[in-house]
Amino acid sequence: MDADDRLRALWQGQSLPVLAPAQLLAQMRRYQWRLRLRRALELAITLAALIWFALVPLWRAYTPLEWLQLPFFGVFLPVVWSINLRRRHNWPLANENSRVYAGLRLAQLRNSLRELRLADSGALALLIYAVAVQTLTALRGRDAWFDAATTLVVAALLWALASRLYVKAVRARCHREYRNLRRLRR
Amino acid sequence: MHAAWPEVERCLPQLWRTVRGYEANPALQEELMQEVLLAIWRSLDKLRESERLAPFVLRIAHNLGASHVRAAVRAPQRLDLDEAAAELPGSEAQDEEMRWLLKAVRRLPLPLRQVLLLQLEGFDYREIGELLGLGVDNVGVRAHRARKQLQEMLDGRR
Repeated sequence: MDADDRLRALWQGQSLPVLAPAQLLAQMRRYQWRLRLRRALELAITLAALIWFALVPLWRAYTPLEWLQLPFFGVFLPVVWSINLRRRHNWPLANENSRVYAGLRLAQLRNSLRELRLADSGALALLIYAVAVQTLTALRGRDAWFDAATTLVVAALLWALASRLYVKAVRARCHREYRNLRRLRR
Repeated sequence: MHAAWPEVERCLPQLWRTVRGYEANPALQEELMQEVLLAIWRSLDKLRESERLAPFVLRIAHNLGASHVRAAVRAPQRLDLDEAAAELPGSEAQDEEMRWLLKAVRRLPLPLRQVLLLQLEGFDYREIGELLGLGVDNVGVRAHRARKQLQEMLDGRR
């Protein structure tokens, strides 16, 4: 037996985790359900926001806070969903040969990095918008509009911080995967 | 369930070994395995009649393995002894040679690791070339470099 055969025998002889195929299939189905649940949650949140803004005027006037949120949601929701829908095309390319896969995945990662920049800029834009609104309402005096703007500033600040942390983590992952796959393209 | 799924189940040992070539942490191995199975599940309709199933599923495992970077972010870089023991259950936990091979394979650069892993699974240069989208000569060069690096690691260990 030569060295290659010995290495192959050693590799193929390793003991593997004992998981019945049925158990693995069940786990995989649970994983698939988790992904579906996440999609359903995203859809539910969007629909709740749309229904809220569409139905509120039927029985009462918008509050100052709702008025201030409207322009933001008008831009935010279409952008988020355009990103979300484009992401769904990630799966089928895994069955291509590795060179083709690497090329397609690199393009996807470049898109993801652009989207992350967009998410970061979006959060920053919301913060700037909130601060601008608060400055304008402060000029009018401390009324309900000023209180609403203050709430918006606090929410925008938290959103910007959370976005920055998320973007930082995902961007690092994207860069790492990008470097890995670029090696495969050489 | 897709008609070819029972055939996929027969490829589980090869899939597990491939996943292990990319990820050291047992919990993350399981997670990567689930991702691979889900991608196979979704891609089975694209399996052509003439194509053999094993190369098809291994291609998916290698692609997702190359994309798998979470381990580096969430898990420690080095494989400590407890982790290695958990990875090799039972009497094989003592199997120094196997542990060394797993660590050595994971230390190889991706382009060499893919070729070596497929070679260890018994594929020839032409089949590996088709799986990875490389010419036969290129596969040969990478296989030679992979073995050379393994030998260097082995010499360094002695």
